[in-house]
Amino acid sequence: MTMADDTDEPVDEIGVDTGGTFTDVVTRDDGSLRVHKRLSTPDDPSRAIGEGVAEVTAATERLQRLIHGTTVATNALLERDGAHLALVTTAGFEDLLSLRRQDRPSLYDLDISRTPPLCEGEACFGIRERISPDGEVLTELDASSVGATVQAIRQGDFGAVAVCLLHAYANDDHERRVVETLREQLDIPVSASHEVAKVFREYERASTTAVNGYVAPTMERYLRRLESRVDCDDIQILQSSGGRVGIDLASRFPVHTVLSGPAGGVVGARAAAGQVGVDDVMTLDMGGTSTDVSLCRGDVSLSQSATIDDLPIQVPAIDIHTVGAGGGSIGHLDSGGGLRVGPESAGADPGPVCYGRGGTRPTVTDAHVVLGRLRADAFLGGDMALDVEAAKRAIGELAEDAGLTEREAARGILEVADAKMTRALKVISLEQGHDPRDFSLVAFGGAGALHGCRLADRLGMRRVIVPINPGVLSAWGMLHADFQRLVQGSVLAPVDDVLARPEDLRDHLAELVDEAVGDLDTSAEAFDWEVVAQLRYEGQSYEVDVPVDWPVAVDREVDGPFEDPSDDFERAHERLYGYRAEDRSIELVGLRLKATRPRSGPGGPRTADDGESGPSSWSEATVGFADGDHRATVAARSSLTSGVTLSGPAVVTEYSATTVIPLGWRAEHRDGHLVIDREEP
Amino acid sequence: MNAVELEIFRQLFSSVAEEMGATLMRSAFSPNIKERRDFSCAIFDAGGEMVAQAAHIPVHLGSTPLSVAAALEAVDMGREGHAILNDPFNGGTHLPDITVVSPVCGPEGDVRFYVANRAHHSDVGGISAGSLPLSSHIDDEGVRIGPVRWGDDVHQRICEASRTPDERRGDLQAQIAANLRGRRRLQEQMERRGSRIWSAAEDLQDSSERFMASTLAEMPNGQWTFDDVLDGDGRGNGPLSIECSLEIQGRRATVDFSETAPQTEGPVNAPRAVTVSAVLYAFRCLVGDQMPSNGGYMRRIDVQTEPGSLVDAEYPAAVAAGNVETSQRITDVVFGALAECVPGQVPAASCGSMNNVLIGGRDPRGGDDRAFTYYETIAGGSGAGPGFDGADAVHTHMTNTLNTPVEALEHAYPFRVVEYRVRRGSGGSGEYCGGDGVVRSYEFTGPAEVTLMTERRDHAPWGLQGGGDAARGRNLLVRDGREETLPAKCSIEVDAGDLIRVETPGGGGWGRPEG
Repeated sequence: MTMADDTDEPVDEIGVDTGGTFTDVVTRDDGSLRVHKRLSTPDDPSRAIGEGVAEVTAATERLQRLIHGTTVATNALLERDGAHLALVTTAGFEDLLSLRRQDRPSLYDLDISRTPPLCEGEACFGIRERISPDGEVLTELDASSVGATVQAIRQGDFGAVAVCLLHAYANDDHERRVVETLREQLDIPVSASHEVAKVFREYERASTTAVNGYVAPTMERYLRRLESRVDCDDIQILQSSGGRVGIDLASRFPVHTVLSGPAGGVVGARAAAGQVGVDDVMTLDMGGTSTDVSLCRGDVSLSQSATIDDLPIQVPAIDIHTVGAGGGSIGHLDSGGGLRVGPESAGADPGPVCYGRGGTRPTVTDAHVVLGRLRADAFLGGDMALDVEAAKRAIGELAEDAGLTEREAARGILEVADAKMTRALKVISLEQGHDPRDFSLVAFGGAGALHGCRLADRLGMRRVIVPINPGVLSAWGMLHADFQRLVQGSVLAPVDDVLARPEDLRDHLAELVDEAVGDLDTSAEAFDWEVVAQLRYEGQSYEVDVPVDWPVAVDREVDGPFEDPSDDFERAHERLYGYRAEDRSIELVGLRLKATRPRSGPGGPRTADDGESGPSSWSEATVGFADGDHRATVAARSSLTSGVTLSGPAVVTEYSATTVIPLGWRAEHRDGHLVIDREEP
Repeated sequence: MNAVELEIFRQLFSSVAEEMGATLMRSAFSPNIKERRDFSCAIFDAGGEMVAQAAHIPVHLGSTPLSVAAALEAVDMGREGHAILNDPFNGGTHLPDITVVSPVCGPEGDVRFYVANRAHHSDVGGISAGSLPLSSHIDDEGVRIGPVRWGDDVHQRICEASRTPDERRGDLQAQIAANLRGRRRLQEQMERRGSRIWSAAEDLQDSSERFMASTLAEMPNGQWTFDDVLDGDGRGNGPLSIECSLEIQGRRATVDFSETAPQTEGPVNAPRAVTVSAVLYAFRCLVGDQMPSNGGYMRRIDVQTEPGSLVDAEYPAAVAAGNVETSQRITDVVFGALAECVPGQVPAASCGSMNNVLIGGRDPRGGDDRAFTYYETIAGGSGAGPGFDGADAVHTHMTNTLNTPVEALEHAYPFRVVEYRVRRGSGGSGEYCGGDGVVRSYEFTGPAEVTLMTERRDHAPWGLQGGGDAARGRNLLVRDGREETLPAKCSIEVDAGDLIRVETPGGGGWGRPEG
């Protein structure tokens, strides 16, 4: 693997996002941007990519770089179609993955059936050894039990191994030796917890390592196929953190991609906002069954732990909060008389009632259709007829049961869906100590722009941005992703002690630097470095991330200064939890380093300016809003060109999305994106 | 209030309660709160009726309202103050559970809501570390508080009584922070939504009552009884009988515990609040999880208890384990009676014990020989039911706390976990098999005091419809290579090299096994 370009000059590159239905290919060459959509080939997603890329690059000479967001690892995990996995752990703890955290996911459900762990029973092996939390060896590694385990795994027809020994985050010596032996003697991928996620809490670390092992062979095969199908030396893979890495790292650590599905959209949303001069945004990606929200304050927010299909994984991922409200979410009355929306969804098949494919229960999309917000004549550019009458019948039945009028019921469905999404937006802002009024909302996905302004209203936000071509935002986002590596290390010591020994701190940072870029053939100076200190009051369990301006010891010569982050921590703690505990000492739990090779992504495409029609093409229609029906302007997005503004009430239609602009909001076209501002009251 | 508003307000209240919980968990200091999440947060209306509870710990469900009622009656909290209590005979359940109640005033300055949270503190004094002792009098169990107005003096009293005052200080601060967060959020909403929010509180309770009424309407009318026993009270008395008579009549249910044994010497007595919680929990499981989480549905269920009995303890009964052990048996007998009423909906008995482990001593690491107390509960198997196997190694019914990660535990305390596994074969057999219990072993590196408060060591969790019983639990001490079975409830001194092994019960099987 090489990192070919060292310049900021634009190169010919392609962003590829494979979804369940479509494979989106976005190309940039000579500064111009093109978008292609192809049907996906789920049996081997690389086929659609290969064909799509070949088609696109036929005209150009040679593809310099391909940036790819893939759900191959995610799907292998969700469909339980990964490797036959063996787990190696400290003797006595073989059932680690079955024991989980001993809680049940749903409090009042008497059937506690859970998805089985990735490996259990006979597939779990214990090694006699023990290390203390301080890294002291309590029981030496027992060579004979290592040997016996290797033997058993060899005979067991396993496809991958995950190794997680107790306290390996504090001292990985035993784990390293076990892993070395396994790698020497077996020819299957071995995932080691100290390499995959060097964090404390054994279940979460073991689970992360197991996920990595489970999907590793599938990912490796896939990436090899992709390499053979695409003529390109520099293939990079999007990570759950929104950064991208080379294909080698991606195949060694596929766990970093399992949450990358929505990451491209967030990166794209942030890039779109950046192009219109906005740094602080919340993103709203509303699809058919659910909605993903995230918050970017300058940069994307990262979380260190997430859950996928009941399995915790502790790797950096864009902090995305998901709620079960999407266009296909079904509205129904519960037996206490409340109107619920979701989590049940009509999905793509049969889909909403208005699709006329057999759906009978009213969905969010049907409510939009009934209220005239989704224009029956403009859906998918008029390619798909919508059955408005059927939607009305379905909503009408619900209305009758609830004692509401048809339009009230339709508005009600939207209002309940909005309440769920508002709650999600509050979780990522207010609950984290951020005031939503300081943010703009970037709305995308099939249904995001239908709800964006209303959600912004509810939260006191004053600007909504609907990016260009919201349907392929993810592929476009990949072209904006930074080349990035994130590494972390445990410290677990009072921050005062750490600062008292600057040379140790310098060495620790230097080790992390090595870990981040040591295996790349690029020097550390080529990167921008950010250091985050994970701090807490001694005795707490949850850390607060505090960015610190510490010099990164790229050459091991720098000895600081390492400024004391205590004040920043206490301010953050007060913002988050409402108090400071000034008499307590502050503990440095760990350090996180981010190495970034920043890049200049492509500018906004010019395609939106191609539209030749202006306001003269606009029409009027009656449209239902939260405060009742209004005569609204209906405009095609292509009619909005630079210098044209459009005040609500209005509906803007385009191929894959519709934007609703309520009274009091005004939209304008800027750099290809739609910027909608609240007009001064 | 229409269907749309009802749902919007339901979401609003539950999001506030959940945010309170997040604040408490993230800023607390004891592993019991921050890792195991042994706490609950809820919102009450001005009359003290529960409007919303976050999905935390079931045993707090029916009991927190009584805390709020007691606080309202006894304490002038003013507009900005807080009340605090843990007295089992005046709004509490057992002494480690400390509840903080705070009024929330509307724009005109009158109280419109209360917010409350309850957290299990890992030591509040008493005769053994962890404050779940083999007591015979409430005064042996720790400091007994109020309800009183929160202030430095009561704070001081709790910290002084505790073996680990520093942790108490941090946890209490986090409890106050959680209520302040809830107060602020509700005030923001009141400013925005005005009086609609007060009427919503009432309508949501009506909604939950309708849920329960429609569930009861589908159940046959009649009367059923079921009885089961506690192994004993840890002071030589037992088995102790708990009997429940269930009557369904139209859209109402009566659950009568009058035939239950009188209160006993040892600490397994349950205050009535605990009994009410167990009944509420069992009925709530039948309704399903869409029901708004508030007290409205309780109006359909009448719980009868005899004061002075095992399930309605009076002063000065010892109650330390009533909340954690007896509550599970009360749940079992309610489900047992329900199984006769609606056989196709009720699973076999689950593990039936929280398998409480308390360890106290001094930590030689760090040089200051600091006192420590540690509390945890160990999961067991869940009962199999019609159409499903039981789950292995999971907390059931009245608790849902997490385990403490071994790596976190060993970082914080001077003893080790040397074995933690699924106890294979401990679930009951059947057409559907019960879940397996857990084995967890602790090795000590110095002197410590260990209290075990466990159940189902003599009387196994039962199967249903021909399914087999689960294996009973076992507590073992391994000393100098010799294995000794410990009583279900005991306090013992251990020393370096000793090992304690707890094997928890599985869940019962459901349906006759094939062949």
